[in-house]
Amino acid sequence: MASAGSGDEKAAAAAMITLISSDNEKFEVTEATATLSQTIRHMIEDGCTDGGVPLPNVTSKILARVIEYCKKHATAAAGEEGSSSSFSDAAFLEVDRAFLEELEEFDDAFLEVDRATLFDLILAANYLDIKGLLNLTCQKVADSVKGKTPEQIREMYNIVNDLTPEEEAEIRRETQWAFE
Amino acid sequence: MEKHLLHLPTDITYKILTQISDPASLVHAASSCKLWRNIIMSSSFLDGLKKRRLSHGFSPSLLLGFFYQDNTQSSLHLWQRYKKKGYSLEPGFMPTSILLPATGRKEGHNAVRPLSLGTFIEGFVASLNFYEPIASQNSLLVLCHRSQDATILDVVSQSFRLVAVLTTGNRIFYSYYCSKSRSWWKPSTFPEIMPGLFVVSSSASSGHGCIHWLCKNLKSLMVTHVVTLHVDREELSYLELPSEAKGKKLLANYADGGVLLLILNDLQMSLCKHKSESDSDWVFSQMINMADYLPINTVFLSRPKVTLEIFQGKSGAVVLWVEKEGLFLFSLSDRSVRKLDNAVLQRSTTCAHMRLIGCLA
Repeated sequence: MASAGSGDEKAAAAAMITLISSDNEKFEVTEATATLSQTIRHMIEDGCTDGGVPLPNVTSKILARVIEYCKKHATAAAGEEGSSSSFSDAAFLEVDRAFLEELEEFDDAFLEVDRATLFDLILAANYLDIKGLLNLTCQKVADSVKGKTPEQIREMYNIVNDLTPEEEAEIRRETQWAFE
Repeated sequence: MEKHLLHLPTDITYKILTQISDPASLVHAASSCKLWRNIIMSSSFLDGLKKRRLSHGFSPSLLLGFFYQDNTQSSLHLWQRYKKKGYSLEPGFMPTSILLPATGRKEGHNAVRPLSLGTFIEGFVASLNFYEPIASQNSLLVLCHRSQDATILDVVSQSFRLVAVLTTGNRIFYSYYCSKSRSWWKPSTFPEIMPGLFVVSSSASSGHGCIHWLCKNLKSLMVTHVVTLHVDREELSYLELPSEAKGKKLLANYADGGVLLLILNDLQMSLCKHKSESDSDWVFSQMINMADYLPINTVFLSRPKVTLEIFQGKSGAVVLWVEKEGLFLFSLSDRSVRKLDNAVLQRSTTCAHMRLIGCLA
């Protein structure tokens, strides 16, 4: 499907896409990087990326971070494809493991952002339909709740307690074990 | 205005909540505000929770943990009162959610305060002093009386059933107590075990109104069958184990009522399913090389002796004892390994009167 119409494979591989943030900043990325986003992949397939892809929901600050993520993970995806055809011995698996560890470290470092940025990344990942990034950022929020009391959760996310005392009592009664 | 968690689209909030793996945290999240409560309590969310669990066949339990007994915890008057009658004390309960993972991330230490069994079964605290939990599943808990009776406690919607079981040689004696009628009931005859077999009494597993045991052949002393007592139907049924199943074995119940058999041969763990009574075939469903999961030092520096301790079929939790290393909790659902390096559990393995005795799933 990808090769339809294109005679020159090399040109296709090196094809660049221009992404335009809400504040009109332009970012040149390779097609491999851009297509981690399903939204952009569909636009490319529909052939409507000439003149750049406007992303009115994403600021340049966030888009730069998203592209950073996509670049790293695009090389990871390419590496995986290469590995299955060329190597399969133990030495290569060792390299593979090191690379995965590096990727994990990258993800950890990538998530060291303030809460507002994290939410913006979630929204951007959702809009651009980047599954890996959405999972990663949502997991970060999910993990932040772990081991916290309801009061701590509210404090952390500025949530106002709108439960009635009856509702609160009901939850506590039904799930007493979780509060011991 | 600062971006707010509650301003995220509902489908994202939903997604975040589905990624909370620890049940206690999920309950806490549900108690923090209406929006989250409504999402978590909605039937679609709960159905989704079930479905995700079914995709790998195991459902990590909301209440998975360890019972242990600690004689230093009991009050003096209980101790004196029951000293003559038995040695057992009320078991404490410790959810696995407070145990630290063996490998990886830094997480804070939580102060460990085990729950008491009385938390689950009100008004039972004193009489529980004579029992130790040996197996459990869903709301069914098998307790073993110090005088060798195994008792099943079925805590379903305020009513429960206790089944007292005694296995001797080739017979299974049992009677049960129903909380609704408040009376004990005894069958007129007790089922006899097939000649040539005897029950391995420590291998009990229960669920769906059944209790299963492994059976050994009297001549070869090899585990060859599974015997099942159907409490309501007052009958026994037998299942022959696959001949290729060699190694140490543990039994458990499966979510849909079938039997699961876990076999450990050296470091190779395999899982067999037996789905229904009518079907005589065992299906080998998973082969797991534990060397991939246990800490590297343990596996390569010494050939460790590994034994199976506890297997909770429905939740997929397996407790392994690794020589010189201690106890590990292995999850069949996500293949995670956690070392049970908790102070309480460590003490419980070193002191004769504090025992790690079971899992509640």
